[in-house]
Amino acid sequence: MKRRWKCMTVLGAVLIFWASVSFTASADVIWEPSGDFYMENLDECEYDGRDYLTNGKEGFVVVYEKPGDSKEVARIKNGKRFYVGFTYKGRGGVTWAVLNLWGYEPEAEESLEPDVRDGWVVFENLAQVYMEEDFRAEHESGFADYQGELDGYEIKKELIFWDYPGSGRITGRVEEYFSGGDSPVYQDLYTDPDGNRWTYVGYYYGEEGWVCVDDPENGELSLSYGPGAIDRELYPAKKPEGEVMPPKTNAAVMAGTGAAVLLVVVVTALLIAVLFRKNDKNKGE
Amino acid sequence: MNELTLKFALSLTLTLLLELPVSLLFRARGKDLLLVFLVNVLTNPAAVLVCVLTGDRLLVQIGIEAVVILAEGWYYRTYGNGIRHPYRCAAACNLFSYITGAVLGILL
Repeated sequence: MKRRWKCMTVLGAVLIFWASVSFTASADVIWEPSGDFYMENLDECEYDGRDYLTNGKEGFVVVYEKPGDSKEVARIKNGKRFYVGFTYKGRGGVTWAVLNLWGYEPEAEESLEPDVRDGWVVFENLAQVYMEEDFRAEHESGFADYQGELDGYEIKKELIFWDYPGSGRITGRVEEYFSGGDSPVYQDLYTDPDGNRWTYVGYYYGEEGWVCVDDPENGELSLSYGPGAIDRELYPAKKPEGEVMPPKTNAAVMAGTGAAVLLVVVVTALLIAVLFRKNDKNKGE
Repeated sequence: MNELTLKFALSLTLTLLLELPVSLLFRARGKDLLLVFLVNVLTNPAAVLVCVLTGDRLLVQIGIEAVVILAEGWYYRTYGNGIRHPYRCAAACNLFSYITGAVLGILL
């Protein structure tokens, strides 16, 4: 009996430890929206974790408090980049995405309700952004091993971290090495079409990105190639104004769909009964 | 065309493309093929609608497939002319289309 209790206590401790590590790890890594909608529809929200550009046909996007709701929390012009944590597929067939609005400073023509940290947009009104992970997937096979090309480099002004080679997007700047000379850990070596060498830093005191080995402090690199392609038509930005109807509510769409399906079922059943009546009569005989 | 309409259209098209050939194995010919076509028009949109409303849960899908097989089997038996083993025909057609659809869903 004592031995059984001992085993169960040990097993319980292991399970609690595992659970705490698992949930803690996921809480550290994945951003989650703050609203009630997400918590109430957890099972139906799918993780996304990518950046997108606002790309509404009207030249701006309307951000709602929750999917299908008419309450707007922001209106943002096209071309703005946001992180999408999760998507939600409404039963009406409309897919929604939740934007992380934390820290966003709206332009004069835009609007953002105070204290709003996130909001939902129609996913169709977003354009996918080519990211570092896409660059890596496309070019990884051509990476060489880092062989110490930047070891011992002395920073003159600031080391520039780029999203990925050719992105044109600076993700970080380091003016001097932290902790008295603790230099970044570099990995991989990529040679771009212009012959420039790049190396990647996965983490350096909150910074990450690619450093141009041949010109590590130039924040205005002139390259013959540009960012990776976004496979989507981009609509020009316009002033957010005018009335924008939210997508039809799920209930309205499903009611309409249900009625249409019922009509199809009834008509088809009648059609079968009429067209094949001869068989029915013959079988009766 | 919105996402929902596309789902209905693709599902019905795929179902017909898969089930009509399978029904040939059960001696469906001529007017029987029209019956197979109409029976699928009758059952498929309704099945897809129920799946959408219930969140595409697996157990619900299995239940729906069972009901569809019984309904289609009944139609083939009642109105079919030369369809052999109507319920087996319905089962084979639906299992084939369901499994193919699931595999395509994974691959794509």
